[in-house]
Amino acid sequence: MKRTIPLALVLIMGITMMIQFFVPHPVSVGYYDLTTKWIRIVGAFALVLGTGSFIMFHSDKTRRRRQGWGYSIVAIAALVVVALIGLCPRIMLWWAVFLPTAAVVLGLLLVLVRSVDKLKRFITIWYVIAGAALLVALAGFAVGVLAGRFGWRLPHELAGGIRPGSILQNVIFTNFLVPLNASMFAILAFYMASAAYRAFRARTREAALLLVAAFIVMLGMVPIGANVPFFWFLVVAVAALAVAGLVTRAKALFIGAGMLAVGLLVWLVFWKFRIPPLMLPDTAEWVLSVPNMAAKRAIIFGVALGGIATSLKVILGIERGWLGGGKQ
Amino acid sequence: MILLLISLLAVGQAALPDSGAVTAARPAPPGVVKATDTPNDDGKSINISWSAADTLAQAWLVERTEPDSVKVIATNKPDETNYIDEEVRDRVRYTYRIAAVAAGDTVWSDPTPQVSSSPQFFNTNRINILIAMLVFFALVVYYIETAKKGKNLFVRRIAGLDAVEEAVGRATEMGKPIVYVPGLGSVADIATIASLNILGEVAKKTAQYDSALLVPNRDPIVYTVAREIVKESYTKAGRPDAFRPDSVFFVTSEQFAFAAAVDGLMVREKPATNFFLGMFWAESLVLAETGATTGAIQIAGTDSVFQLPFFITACDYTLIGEELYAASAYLSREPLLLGSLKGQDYGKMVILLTLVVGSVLLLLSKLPALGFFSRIVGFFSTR
Repeated sequence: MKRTIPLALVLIMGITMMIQFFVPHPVSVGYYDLTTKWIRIVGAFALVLGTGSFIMFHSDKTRRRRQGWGYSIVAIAALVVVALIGLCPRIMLWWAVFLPTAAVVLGLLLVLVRSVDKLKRFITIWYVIAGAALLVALAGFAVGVLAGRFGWRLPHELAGGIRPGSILQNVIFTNFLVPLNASMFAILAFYMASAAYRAFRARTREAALLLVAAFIVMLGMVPIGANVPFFWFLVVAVAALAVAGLVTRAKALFIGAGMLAVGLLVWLVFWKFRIPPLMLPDTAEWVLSVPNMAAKRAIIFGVALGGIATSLKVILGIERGWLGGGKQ
Repeated sequence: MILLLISLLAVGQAALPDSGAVTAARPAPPGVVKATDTPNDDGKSINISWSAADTLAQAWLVERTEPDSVKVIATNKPDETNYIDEEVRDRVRYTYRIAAVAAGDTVWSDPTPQVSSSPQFFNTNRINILIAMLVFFALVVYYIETAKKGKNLFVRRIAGLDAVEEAVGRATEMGKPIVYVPGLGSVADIATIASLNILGEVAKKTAQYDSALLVPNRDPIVYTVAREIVKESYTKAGRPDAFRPDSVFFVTSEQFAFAAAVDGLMVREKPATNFFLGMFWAESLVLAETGATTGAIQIAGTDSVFQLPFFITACDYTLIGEELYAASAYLSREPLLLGSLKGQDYGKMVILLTLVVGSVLLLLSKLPALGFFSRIVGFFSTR
């Protein structure tokens, strides 16, 4: 039963969605819209499970003092603070910052206390921090209450001006999330360089071809490349390859010489028939739009057919890996 | 004499062109005006088209007559001789008129016959997709049935999948964990489903070898499915006690935060093996390069042609495109799954043949006598 119902649901939904693709009738369109809404609703429920997993994972890591447990505290604190700011539109700054911190610290303490030798661990730095945070939070609460009662004029941030899209949320988004994301993305440039170094080491014939093609495309894409005829590029590239071949393997010298001879022949044909010389950007464009595109399309065909076959297997219940595998 | 003069004047006047036509040219009314229900749609749309009788019109006016009102609904430029009216109700009869406007003069066409819109039950533009789909389904089902009868089906070697056993064994020998990233896609992506299928097989092996498995997730739904799969696999391998609930965990939905977390995990835990299978975007190289620096054996696979080069560069083995989908069948060696793989291969052969025949027909269609071939080729194009 545990497997029969999901399999039946997948079969029904799979077939109806397939039929829906061919039917433009409003009933069919409405059905499609409805199911996409269901996906979002299921996603919302799953988010609760995901958050639960997040909290469990990090609290367990902290409790067991596993490597990098300090980061887990930061992760949980960030989750609580950002969630509270988002959930409580008019919460006061004191509440938003100190109360959740205190709550998190207290919660973590409770987790810690449960598993350690109690008295020794009771007096720890965490208690001091938690106590301080709680005091500040209470002070903030008191100030807020008094300000409300006696009509004191507090700064905007202190007097309940925090709501979605307001200062604190913007501060978190603009000054934390955006730079952190940008930093991770920027690392990509360095990784690209190291990956390119590894890929372009001409250890095999394929790697040598890759190296030449990559240089054609890279040079063809920069302004200086627009003034380089393909022939002279080939001369330089092959000479470099030949020198590298002399150092590492004699065979590369012959490959280089052969390529040079072919290049020379092509250039002679161009010169004899007064054909305008092939410039590097044209060559780069050709590399991208012909051999590269052909390989890409071959992969895309395979992916499309593989995707359809996998869907069919899932719909017909042949592929049950997503259920944990096996038969009934 | 007077009579002669009068007759000459009369002839002369008849020979003069119409003075009014010279000073303000009157546009001709539009040619054939057609109003039809827009085909292959969900209704509420009527397509109006007409032809320009001359080039004098400076604009076109489209007028709609409803049962209770008449109004001009659009003004088109001179070169736009088509209008789709999407403000109509289904099964209500309308007539349309088109006016050619030039120098303040408006010349109306005759009204079209009554027309009404209605939704269609089948999109005829997609009949080519339907036929291709049925052919492909037939091939897959045929080979599945063949496999059921016990026929031995040959599947070529896939180095990346052969290495799975070795990779898990390596982790066991080194006493280090295995990191399995099921991509950053949602569970609605086929690549993620394929990755989850492979996860089941990998989890079985880790259970058998008693290796630690870590599965960080970006999507909460994928997390819940992955958790169940790993749990089931451990049970199937006869090691339900070895399953650690915290081995499959949700990290974050943020793309680069996820990449940072997995990078941190790899640097701290120094896994023996990393699997990156599923959908990946810009973070693919960040993950693969960090994994490479930790010295782990890396098996990657994705259907994104843009990320494949990064994985090929930074990983030891890469499943290219469809190999990712074939992995589950390859690893489990279940005859039914292998049968579908065979069907997939023959499907590719059909596509290859179609491409070759289509290219030849398209070339031949350039010959005047064989122009009708272009219709055959047109059938296969997307509409």
